[in-house]
Amino acid sequence: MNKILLPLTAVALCFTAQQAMAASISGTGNATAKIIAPLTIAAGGTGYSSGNLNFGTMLSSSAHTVTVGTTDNRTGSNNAMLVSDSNTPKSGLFTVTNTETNPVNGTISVDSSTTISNGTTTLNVTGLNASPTGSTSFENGDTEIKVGGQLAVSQNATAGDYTGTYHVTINY
Amino acid sequence: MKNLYLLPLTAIAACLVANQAMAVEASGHGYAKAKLVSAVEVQSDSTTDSLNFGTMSIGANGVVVNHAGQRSGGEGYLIDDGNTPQAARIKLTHQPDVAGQVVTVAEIPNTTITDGSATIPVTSLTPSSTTTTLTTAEHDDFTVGGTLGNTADKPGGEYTGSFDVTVSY
Repeated sequence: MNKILLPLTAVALCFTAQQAMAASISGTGNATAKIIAPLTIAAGGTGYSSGNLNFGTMLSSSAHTVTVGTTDNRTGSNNAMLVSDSNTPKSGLFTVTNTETNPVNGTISVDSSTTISNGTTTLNVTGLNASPTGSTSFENGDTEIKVGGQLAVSQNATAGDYTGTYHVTINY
Repeated sequence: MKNLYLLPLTAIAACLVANQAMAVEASGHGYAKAKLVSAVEVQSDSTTDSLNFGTMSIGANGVVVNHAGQRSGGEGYLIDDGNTPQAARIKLTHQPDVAGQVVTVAEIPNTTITDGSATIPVTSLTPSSTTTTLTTAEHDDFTVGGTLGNTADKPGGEYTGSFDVTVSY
């Protein structure tokens, strides 16, 4: 029995000796990242003072709808209700500015609906749509977004200036 | 018979010699000196050797820089500017006489980077090799890549942090 035990003991001692010789040492590495918010959005743009989506002037002697597209074009369900005056229909306009040299990808979305009011009467605006929309590459500088929608004019809606708000959002 | 007498005499002679040796004693103070240095040191320059995830927009999630310095993930949020992504470089500085020594890199713990207020996790810190055989050069290097967590809802800014690298040999 002793003859077997001796070699095993010797092996164990050698193993212990090797463990004692192992050393560990630490140092520090470093990590960095730059996170930026390169896009800004503002209502309005070249040739526009406000950027308002403007349905123009119309009558309300009967119910009808007025649609303004994303190219300042206006159409109506009853053209007899449309009035052409100095209150020129216009698409909504927003300007997105990318301060980075390189393009930034973002996704444009717009509220689907809103309301406008003269303080007493409220009218519905639906079908709000933006151009461009969805996934968009914003180059360095300014990118314009135009917005259209459809106004539902109720019969005998009170005369007056109707206003409301809606949101355009860019996720990037 | 002669041998029987000789043995005690030899023993006595040996004792005498021993006593003589003990009788001559002198003592004084000597000085010993040693400088202990680590055979291997782990170094990384925060200016030139950082793991750099580069520039990205808020919202990037899971941006990876591998140990070769290649950036991936975060599609749609990555910005290529002069802030070039790179893997961290870790230097194993050592004396030439430890050449041939195999150094093992331990698992690197997760860390965070911060702009001073917000923090973003950095995970999957992975060395280019878990073992390095030291050469006769002044240092032998390996690189470390990692994964940056979600940047959504974080403020823009320069984020920095550090991570611990432990090697054994």
